[in-house]
Amino acid sequence: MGKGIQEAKKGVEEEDSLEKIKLQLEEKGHLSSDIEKSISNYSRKIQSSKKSLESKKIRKFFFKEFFDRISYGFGSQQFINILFFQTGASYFLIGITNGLRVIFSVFLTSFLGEYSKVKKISKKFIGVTGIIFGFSFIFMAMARFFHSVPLFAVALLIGSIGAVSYGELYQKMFKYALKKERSFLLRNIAQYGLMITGASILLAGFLMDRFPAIGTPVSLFGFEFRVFGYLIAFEIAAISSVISGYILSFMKEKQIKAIDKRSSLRQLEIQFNNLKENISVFGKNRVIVVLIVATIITVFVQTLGNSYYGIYIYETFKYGYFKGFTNVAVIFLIAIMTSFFAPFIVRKNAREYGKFPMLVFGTLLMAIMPLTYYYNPNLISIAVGTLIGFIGAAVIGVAHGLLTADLMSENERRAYFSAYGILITIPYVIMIPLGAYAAQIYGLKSLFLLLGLILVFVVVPLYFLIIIMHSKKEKI
Amino acid sequence: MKNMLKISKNKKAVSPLIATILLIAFAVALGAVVMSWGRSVDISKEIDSTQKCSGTSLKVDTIDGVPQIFYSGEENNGFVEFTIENNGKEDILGLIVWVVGEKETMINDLDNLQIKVGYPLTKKISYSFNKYGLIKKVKFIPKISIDKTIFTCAKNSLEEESIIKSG
Repeated sequence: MGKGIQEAKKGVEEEDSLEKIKLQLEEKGHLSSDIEKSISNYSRKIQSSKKSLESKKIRKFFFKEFFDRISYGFGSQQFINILFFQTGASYFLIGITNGLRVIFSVFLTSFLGEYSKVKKISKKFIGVTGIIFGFSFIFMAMARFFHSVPLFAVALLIGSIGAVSYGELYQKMFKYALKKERSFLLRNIAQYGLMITGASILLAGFLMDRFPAIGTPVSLFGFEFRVFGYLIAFEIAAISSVISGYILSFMKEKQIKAIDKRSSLRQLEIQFNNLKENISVFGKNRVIVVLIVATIITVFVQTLGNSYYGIYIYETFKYGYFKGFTNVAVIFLIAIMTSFFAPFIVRKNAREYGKFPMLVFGTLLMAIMPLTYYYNPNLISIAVGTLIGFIGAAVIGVAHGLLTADLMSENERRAYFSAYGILITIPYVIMIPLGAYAAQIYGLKSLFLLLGLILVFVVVPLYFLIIIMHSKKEKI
Repeated sequence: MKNMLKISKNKKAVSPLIATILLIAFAVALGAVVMSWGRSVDISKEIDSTQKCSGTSLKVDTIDGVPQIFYSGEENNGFVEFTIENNGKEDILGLIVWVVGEKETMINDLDNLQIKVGYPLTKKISYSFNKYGLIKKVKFIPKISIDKTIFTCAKNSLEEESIIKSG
């Protein structure tokens, strides 16, 4: 009986079919009632241990997500830009650093996306990138304290490299690890995550206003010391990232499979070679070429605008309403909440109006944001303008995704997505410094006017051109 | 009937070009509303004035500890003479002077003057003792300019109560 039970256990563990186990054991002379009893016992045990393993994994992912979102909120990009400005950085340097950050991010995302397909990237590496991301906040806070612009710029760039590597690789790991086991909690993590990030942004803004950069003297247990809001906020961001990286080290590593032993330099070489091939694949399709040009300009406007929107709101309203940082927090909190409903609206309208008109519409909505900053700089209009701008960005994102699926063949689409990242970074090397220089020379308000006009008078006509080209193609 | 419903569900409502024009019109209208919303209340200027006023400061000049505000004359031919200094961060482009008397308060709006940062101003203004009574207090309210608009910084006023008779 004992041996039979062991064999039944082995069979259940190996996930053999019930009939197969039964047949094998009956052949060995075991009673069918004993076999059924044993199988049912072990099946129950194994199911419950699997369930507990799954729920442990889900719990780990959830806590990791929770700490990630806290770190995104406390270390919000808008706050970083304001503190960089307060450290003494010029508009030009802020623009250039943000541009470099985007170039690195896009490039790294593309590189890691391809590299992780062929080479196993260890969990340890992912964890380390998370920790680097966390420590960059501490260095940024130090740079703010010592008014060291170079240290701030370096910390910001290294932090963003860490953030992208971490985010990109983690997303892959998340996708593989929880393919079948996504709980309700994790399926809705985007919504919960937004709420956590929103609350963190608001709290960070409040802390930075309550304890301004000059330091608020606080007396605790007879000790007198100065409290700096940005230091608290960035410490929380740093600790959250480090904890999140630490949680990641407890997760099982089976998910990312190695195909090839390829060095990162070799991968880079292969990707550049593929770029030429890929461009020739979709380069023949004029509609796609114009679409890429329009996307490059749109992302350029977004990058440059996002570098300065927070600074502008902070500087214009620092003595009014909720005070400097909280004003910025409230505006961007309202704006990020659009993620709850924007994709739904876009999908619905894309069906009603078509994808091309939605692209034009999204671009115009995006243009409203910088134009409001220029024409009507009061907090309520800016809040509404920012909200509309974020909806516009979501419209463009969804419409662009639907359009690439429609316009391209499978082959073209594969070529497009693998070349897209590297391709759009190339013009930024020239465009971002020019935009940052314009901000430095003509001021933020003039830059916002310029960005709005670029969207209206350059990007929108490009989309019109696409509509005409596409309708001609369809007629042919 | 089922097929008809299916067709009407799948059919796009408008052609791409017309849809684009409709959406452009909607976006332009939305933009116009947002960009003109609350324009009459120029909050940025108000905030600017609060910010700039916070950098405005006046001080009565003192010699050997004596504030340089004096009165002289009598009945309808009185005078108040003062020396004040701009020790703030903003140039002052006007001054409202209150001379609070026992009977009434005399208000003098001095528009055509400028006190640069770090500079003093000495001024003599006429005063009627018969009409306003003995002087109890003098108050100075500075005015500054933001984008060619004059703002009065009432919260940054200066008051002086020890006014002595000129020797």
